[in-house]
Amino acid sequence: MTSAQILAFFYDSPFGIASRQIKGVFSICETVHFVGLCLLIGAILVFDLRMLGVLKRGSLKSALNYTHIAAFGLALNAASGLVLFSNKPSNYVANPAFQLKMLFLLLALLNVVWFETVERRKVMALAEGESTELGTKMAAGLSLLLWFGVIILGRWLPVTALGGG
Amino acid sequence: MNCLTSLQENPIGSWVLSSDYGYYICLVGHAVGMAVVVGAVMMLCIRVLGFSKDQPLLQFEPLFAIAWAGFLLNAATGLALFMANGPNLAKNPPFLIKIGFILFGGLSLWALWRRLITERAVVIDANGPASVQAKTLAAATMAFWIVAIMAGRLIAYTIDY
Repeated sequence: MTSAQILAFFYDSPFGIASRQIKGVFSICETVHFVGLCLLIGAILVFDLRMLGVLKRGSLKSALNYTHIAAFGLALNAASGLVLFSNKPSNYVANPAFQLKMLFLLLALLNVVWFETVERRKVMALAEGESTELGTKMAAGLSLLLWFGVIILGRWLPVTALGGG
Repeated sequence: MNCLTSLQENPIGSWVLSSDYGYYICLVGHAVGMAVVVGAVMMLCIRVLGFSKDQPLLQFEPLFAIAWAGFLLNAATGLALFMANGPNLAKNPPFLIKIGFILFGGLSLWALWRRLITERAVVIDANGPASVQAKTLAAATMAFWIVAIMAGRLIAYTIDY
């Protein structure tokens, strides 16, 4: 599959067609994208700041419950983002802010994988009152930096878009 | 509308209007501020509704300082964006609905926090379940903020420049 074919696949998909032909689909997906990012950011504020020790109350374990909300917010954003992307795929891939956003997204997801495969177990093994290890704190700090980076770059898309955003 | 037009001539309004990036920098700040304030509020509401019951409600107290910072960033950038296009925004229905629902969201959050303090012995000290009233306020607060976001998004489709 050439890259042109991949872009055409998204463009001609039901998501792409709906986003261009049914009034309101695109703006509803934008709204869902915003609500999803609020859920994601709210949730990472709870558990990343708890892992970092900025928030101190309650068990580390109960703070990690909020990863489910982050995952739900991310799922909303993946679904709505797919529709937004399929609207005009070639414009997005040519947009430097979008390319950088996808890089940040990839790094943020790799950080999630690191946290889930390595750090979560360490957190669960801690006794009550013990604070997290340096590695866990690094993953939490990176999570905040990368996800905020994703949002900033996402809102910067119109600046570098071809023919306006 | 004269006073709104004159807002466009003040340094902030004209920076947003005529600099290359002023408008977009404000949009970025507006989105980041929104994510922080609405995100933190939603986490409190979801917790009151019964999610992660062993998470102490007092955990949200320091988070509220961060939420306030998000709100201030959101309000400051929102004000700058308003200065740049006041005359049109003031007659744009989605904008007026958005401002109304932000007020509702704020009032309902305030009422929720007061309710939780009233129920302090159960919900805060003992980590017990919140009352139906508190849960209703939590659900309403979330709904108000979501409508505000929705209306805010619609501004882009309905505004004149």
